[in-house]
Amino acid sequence: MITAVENWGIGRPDFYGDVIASIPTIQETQTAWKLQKAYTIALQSVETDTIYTVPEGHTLVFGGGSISVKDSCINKLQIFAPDSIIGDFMFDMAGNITQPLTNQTVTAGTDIIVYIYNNDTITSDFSLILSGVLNEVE
Amino acid sequence: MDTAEMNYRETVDSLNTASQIRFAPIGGIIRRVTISWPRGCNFLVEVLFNHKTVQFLPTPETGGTGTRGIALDNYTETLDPGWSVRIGDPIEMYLINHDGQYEHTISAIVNIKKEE
Repeated sequence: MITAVENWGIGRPDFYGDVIASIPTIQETQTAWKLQKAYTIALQSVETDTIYTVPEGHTLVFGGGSISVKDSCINKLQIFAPDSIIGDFMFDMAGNITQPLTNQTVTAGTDIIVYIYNNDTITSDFSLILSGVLNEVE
Repeated sequence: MDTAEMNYRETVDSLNTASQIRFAPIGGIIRRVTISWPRGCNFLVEVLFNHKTVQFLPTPETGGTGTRGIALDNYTETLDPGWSVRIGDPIEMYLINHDGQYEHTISAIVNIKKEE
């Protein structure tokens, strides 16, 4: 009766039960924010660095990040904004920074400062990655 | 026997056709055709019914040569074609699957009522 069947599109398997989760997207008033910095930190010392200042008219909402070092030793990372500690993390060689950093908000004009503690007996190289969303605010 | 039900269930491959033929156990009027499309068909699977070589559901267009069925999704539809058949007549469920990826299985029931 019919020799060639037209392709009208793609359906789903019969009785499919999956739930299609919404995928978060960057809105017009938002900008994806990313930071990557490398540090060489002397033994038994702490590096202090103002990594970012939130621009006027914006807030920064942290998503997460990671820190790594090539030598094994339990070190510490603190992320600090005036009047609040955003996060305090211990790690050995590598650590994913999630709680309590995720969803922390930093207001306009605020400096974000990191303290990276090298507790090792040798100078080591550290790599820090942070990400988040910069929101325009009125 | 005043009424008879004929059960259909057929799987049609992606971008393919399939059919299933049943023979009327009694003569009478087709008073009810129930067709069920599982969720996932996404309005891509056409279903039509033929009596011998004549399409009776859905009602064929006037003129032209188009073959068009009913295509729904996650739904069971009941229709009354009011079509006369005789005992032993072939009644065919014909499927056209326009889904480019998935096969689908359609179920249907044809109910014949003996009427004078």
